[in-house]
Amino acid sequence: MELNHSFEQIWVVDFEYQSCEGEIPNVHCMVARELSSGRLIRLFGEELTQIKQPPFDITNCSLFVAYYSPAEFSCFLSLGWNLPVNTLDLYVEYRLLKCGMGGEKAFGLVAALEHFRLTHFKPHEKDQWRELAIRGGPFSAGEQKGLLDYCQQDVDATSSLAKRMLAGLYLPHALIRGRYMQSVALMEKNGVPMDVGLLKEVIARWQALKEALINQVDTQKVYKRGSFSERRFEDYLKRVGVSWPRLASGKLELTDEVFRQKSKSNPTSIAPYHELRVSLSRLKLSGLSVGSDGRNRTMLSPFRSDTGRNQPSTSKFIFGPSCWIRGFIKPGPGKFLAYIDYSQQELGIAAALSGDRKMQEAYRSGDPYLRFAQMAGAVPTNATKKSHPEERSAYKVCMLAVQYGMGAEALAVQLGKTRYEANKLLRAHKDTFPTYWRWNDRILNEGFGVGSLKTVFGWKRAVQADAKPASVGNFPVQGNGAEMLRLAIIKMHENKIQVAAPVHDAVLIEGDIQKADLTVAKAQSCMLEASKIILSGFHLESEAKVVAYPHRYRDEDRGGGFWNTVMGLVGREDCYHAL
Amino acid sequence: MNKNTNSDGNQVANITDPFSNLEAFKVSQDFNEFETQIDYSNIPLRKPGKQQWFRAHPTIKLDNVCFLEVDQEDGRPESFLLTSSVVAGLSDLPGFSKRSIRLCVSRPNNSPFVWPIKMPRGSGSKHDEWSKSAIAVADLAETEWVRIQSDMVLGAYKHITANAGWEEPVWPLLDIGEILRRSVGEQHIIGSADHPVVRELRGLA
Repeated sequence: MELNHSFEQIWVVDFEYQSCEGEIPNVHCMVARELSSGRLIRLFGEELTQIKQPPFDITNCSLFVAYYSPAEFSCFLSLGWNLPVNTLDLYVEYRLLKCGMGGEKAFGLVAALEHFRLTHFKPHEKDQWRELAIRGGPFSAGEQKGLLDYCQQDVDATSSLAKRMLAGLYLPHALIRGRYMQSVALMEKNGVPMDVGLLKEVIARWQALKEALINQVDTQKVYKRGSFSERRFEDYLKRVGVSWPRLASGKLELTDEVFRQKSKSNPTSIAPYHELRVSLSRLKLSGLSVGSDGRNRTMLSPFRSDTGRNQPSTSKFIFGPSCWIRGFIKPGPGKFLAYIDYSQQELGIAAALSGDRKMQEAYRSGDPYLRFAQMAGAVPTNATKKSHPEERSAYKVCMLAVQYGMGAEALAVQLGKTRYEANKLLRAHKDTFPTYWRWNDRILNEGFGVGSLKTVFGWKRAVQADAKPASVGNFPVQGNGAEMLRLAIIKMHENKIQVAAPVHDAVLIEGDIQKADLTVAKAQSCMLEASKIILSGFHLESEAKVVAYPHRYRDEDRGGGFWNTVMGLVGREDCYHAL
Repeated sequence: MNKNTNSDGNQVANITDPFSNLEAFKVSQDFNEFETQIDYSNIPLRKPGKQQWFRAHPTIKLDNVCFLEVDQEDGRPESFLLTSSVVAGLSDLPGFSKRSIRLCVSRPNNSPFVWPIKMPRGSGSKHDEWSKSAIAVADLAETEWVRIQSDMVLGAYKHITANAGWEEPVWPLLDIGEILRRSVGEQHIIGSADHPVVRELRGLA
């Protein structure tokens, strides 16, 4: 079989290790096989831990292949080894094959082997050996041989998969994705520093706190005997004049997404109820994955979503749905944290890739929503956020709604206005940004016509006949947003910046307080550079929020009030956020 | 140096280090893989709605197109296009009229329609005022987005011009013959004096 590469060596590698929630792995053994020569390396225990560098070539002449490589790279980092120059992660490439196809969401090695009908390579007795690896040492001679054999089975299966997949994939893009998997391992190793003492204090009192939280937060008596009452919530909405989408049955649509959207536009009336609902129903503080060194570490699940974005476990990751718990994030002594997010990333991408000059001008104005209202003639050209808050808000909702393919009906509900007014806003958007709309039409034509769409670096989403046009139309923005953040993080790691976590279109970085300004500026420069590459010269700005020891992280807009309520209830007023 | 093609089919070099020149490996985001064109199987034959902003095509227009308007039991008359070969023999029929055909599009979706404006007879009658004013509005709509309103006191149409700076209209890429065929419909074209509709009007059917 002719393989689509020109590497001198291709090493397929797998490790077995003990992995506990939130901890750095304890490496047991490694098996590596060179694909062309068949050369095999099997190392166990000290044979492995005593060597300073990998026992195979990791220069640009060779290719490192693994299935879900962050696991392997976490072992590299534990062992103090350098990471390879070129990585091909077959998990990512298999995920790519299945992107947009719906159906089965299993992307493990066995699923990939079955897809390529390589079932005769399928590893067996997996559970027994996996449990042994989790149990950890000391191992008997028989157990050592068994673990190595089990590890070799995975290597052989991955080798057969590599031979099959290498011939069909476009290597440069795969190598870019592979480099990001190294960044994932670095971020997972770094983790997010937490105030573990305070977290334990709250966890210990969490059950008792729930009732007190309802009493404290539910000043409007929406809860009845500890349960959320839809009827009472409906009455409350009427009292505060907040419109709410309904299901076909006429009932209120009480999904997390609706609560999230409404919380943004109603931070005082709805957001506390959102935090309360999530906290009472789904939040398991003890489920947060925190290591013995006080850092939140969890699998970041890169490329898990169809857009190619990371999709870490919402219960284990500190940046899950409950915003108030982010108050537990705290840099250690002498350290700072900076949350840096792209300014209006999605709008900027749409403006740049569509080539719509007026949308680009709106983005660059710093307040695209007000600029849009000005361009549409809805407010005078000297209008400000302060002088025309309502118009700006309506044009903001419209601009965001368009990005998500929302129609007039949904927009009317979102705005609490008539369909006539929603249609008028949508028409204003079409009139103001016609080049963007033509681009959007071409996306749909190509998506449904060719059957797939690709981002700048080839993250491809299949478009099936029953795909939702809104998600198809939004794919280039979301997919390229994901590409941009991946590239920015790769650049940050090239610049030796400690990245603690990716958060949608943002990153949390960490460093020494003395170097905070320089490090943040460098990180922002990486983000800017990444945006210029993805958007062919158009650059996106970013905003940084820096918190230095002994202060803690706070999300200014979301969850701050709820955090203070919880702190008040546990008698830790000293931890209050200044709101 | 390795040779390979990128995912757009272009030759690129140094495949093993995409980071040395990321630009070379980019996929275009223009999404112009293929040309598309909107087609309209049916173009309505009607006058502009009261609430519609519309434009008229400056060249796709035709005067003196002959129609026969036949009353129906439901009160809505049905229009038939007369081919030139039968016009001479049918001009005496009730419902016969000459029209100025204008291709128009309405906002916001560039929806096309054909406006069949009755030609003024030059008789100075009140009908002529409606026809003349309609033609004047259609002429203006060749360069401006307009909305039409009936003014019963004036006995003519008046118009409102938009100064919103909207984009120029996008027109269907069809010739006048095809536009007429699609707007009138094959079943509404009378090409013979033996047509059942004609025979009925003449009391022969």
